[in-house]
Amino acid sequence: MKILVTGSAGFIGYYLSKYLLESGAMVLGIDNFNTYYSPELKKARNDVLESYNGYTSLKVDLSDRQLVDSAFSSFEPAIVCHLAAQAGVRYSLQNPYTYQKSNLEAFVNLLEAAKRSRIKRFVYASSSSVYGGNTKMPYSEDDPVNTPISLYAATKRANELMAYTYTHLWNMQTIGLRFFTVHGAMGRPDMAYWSFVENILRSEPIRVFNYGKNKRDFTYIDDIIAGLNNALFIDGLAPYEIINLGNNTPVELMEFIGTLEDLLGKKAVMEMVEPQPGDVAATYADIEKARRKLNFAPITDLRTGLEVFVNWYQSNPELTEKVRAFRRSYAP
Amino acid sequence: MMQNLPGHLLVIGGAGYVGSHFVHFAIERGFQVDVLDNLSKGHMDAVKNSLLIHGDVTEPEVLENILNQRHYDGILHFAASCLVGESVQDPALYYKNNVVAAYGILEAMRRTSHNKLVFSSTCAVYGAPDTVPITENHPKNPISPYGRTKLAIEWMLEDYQNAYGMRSAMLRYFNAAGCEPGHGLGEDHRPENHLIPNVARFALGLDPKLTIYGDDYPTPDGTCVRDYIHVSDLAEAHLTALKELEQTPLIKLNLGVGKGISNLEIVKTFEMILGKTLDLDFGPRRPGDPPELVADASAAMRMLTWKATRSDIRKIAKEVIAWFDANPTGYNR
Repeated sequence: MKILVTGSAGFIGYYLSKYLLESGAMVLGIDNFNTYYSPELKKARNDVLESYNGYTSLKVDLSDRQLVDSAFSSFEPAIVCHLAAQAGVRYSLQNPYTYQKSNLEAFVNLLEAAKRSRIKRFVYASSSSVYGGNTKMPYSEDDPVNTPISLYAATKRANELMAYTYTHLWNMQTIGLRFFTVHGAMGRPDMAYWSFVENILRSEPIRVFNYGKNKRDFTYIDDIIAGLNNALFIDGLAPYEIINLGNNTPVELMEFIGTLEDLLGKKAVMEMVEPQPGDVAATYADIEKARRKLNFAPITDLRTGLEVFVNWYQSNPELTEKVRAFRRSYAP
Repeated sequence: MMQNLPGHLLVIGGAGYVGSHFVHFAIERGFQVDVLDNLSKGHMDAVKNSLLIHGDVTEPEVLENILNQRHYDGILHFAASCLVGESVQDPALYYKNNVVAAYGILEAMRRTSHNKLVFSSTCAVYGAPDTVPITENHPKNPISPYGRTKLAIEWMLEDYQNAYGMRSAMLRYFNAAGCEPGHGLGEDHRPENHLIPNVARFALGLDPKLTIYGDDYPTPDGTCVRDYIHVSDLAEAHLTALKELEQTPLIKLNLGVGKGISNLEIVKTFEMILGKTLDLDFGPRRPGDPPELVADASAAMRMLTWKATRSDIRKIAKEVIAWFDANPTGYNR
């Protein structure tokens, strides 16, 4: 089975590719290795994938239509898993055109190429941020999502709508997954679990909004990959699906920090900050649909998952130092 | 310094009793204030309108990282372990939390070019006084590890001034009292070892009994005599001392009212305000409690052109009653 994975040097793309390769699939991984965070980390992930025979890596920007088309025609994938995107909510306020290019143009290029190649199933990453200012918890796929509060969220919602159109017009099965916060080894340096660990180890202050009382859900990468893999292959999915992949047991930020302090054996320095405008006290996913349709089960508890990350972080000082140095020199 | 503000201050221990009142006072006078507190005794709810940095000043690099991020016009150090009895049982804790912490603060300040510190000292540096009222020149013979750690820090500050030009004010509090219930600030120590809140709690029926330690002291009514100064008077003195540091590199001052009040007089004040008789118990003297501690407050008045104006004992008692009326369990935790 040939599978095209975009964003293969990204966090989820890397783990999915590895999982697929280990189960014997052929994977074409596409990534533009952009500088939103350290390319060293993306390279480290890609290096692991390169060690598999079934893996081909392509450094391509998906906004280049011709290159996308030729990738499809030469590799002839059966399934597409489109995880590449310009991530980051705050970054989208300062860099709108990057989102236009990476999240909108690229998406149309992929849909078009997939349509022409008669791809059986087109799986793509959406985001919990499409729930925007919704206050009804848990976030359910049936809730209206017409109020994105960042350009990032708007592009992700646009992806869902474009996918709907292609399903409707061309009978292409499209599965959109709304990812919530995912954590694990080699994770995302722009996310709190990474920067918190970095700062705690260096006794640098971390910002704690709403005095740490906000609750967020975190899902461990292995659980996500199990669900994502089923999204690629499982039977019984409708032609057009939108499914939450997250966790329904949100954790108070103070508990999250306390767990990190425990694992690191060191106290955090916290700047306790009042609630921010638009802050929602608790956000978490309704995952009934994922359970039902993808046999999804977020079984890894937070502490176990964070322990894996912390151990990885501490046993890779060279890489994590490069990531930090990059962040500080480049500061997107 | 930020525009339109008299300055940006870092208050270490700003969630504690005296610290939180200082923060409130400084903010009302237009200062921008950041608080660093490990919340071991302090209360998150006592910090209002300022950035609270939850961190431990005894951990290496914590303060230095903060001082590298922002430059402060003054640093005020209120954090300490301050229970006399505990300091006898566990002096190591006091040398760490008081002396080692102060050393870390001074070093972090030196490395980041901060050179103005206001330090909370105590009348305990004098020990059992030979004469009252106590002037700043009175011999320093502290009788508890607590008092000794505070005196050790004073010596350190003096040496740092001589050698490195570090400017510091050592303010020797007598008995801090009162609160600002109108601004949500009270007195809430756990355990509570201060007389006034204990009398208030007993008088309001919040505590089952009230014990006065010692009724055979050589004082007019046999109970200990203390000099009670309002925390907001202390706060004002801190601000003026910080300003004075620009002229005077080393300041050592008593902060008191200059008037002694006995334990029984405190009880009588509450009885008069509440119109009832308090049925109290007498216990044995506590080791290390001198009969009379009263400040000669004239040096502070002269140098800082400051005077305690909020320290009337009836006013203090009424405030503490109002605080416990509104907050019978103290700050929420």
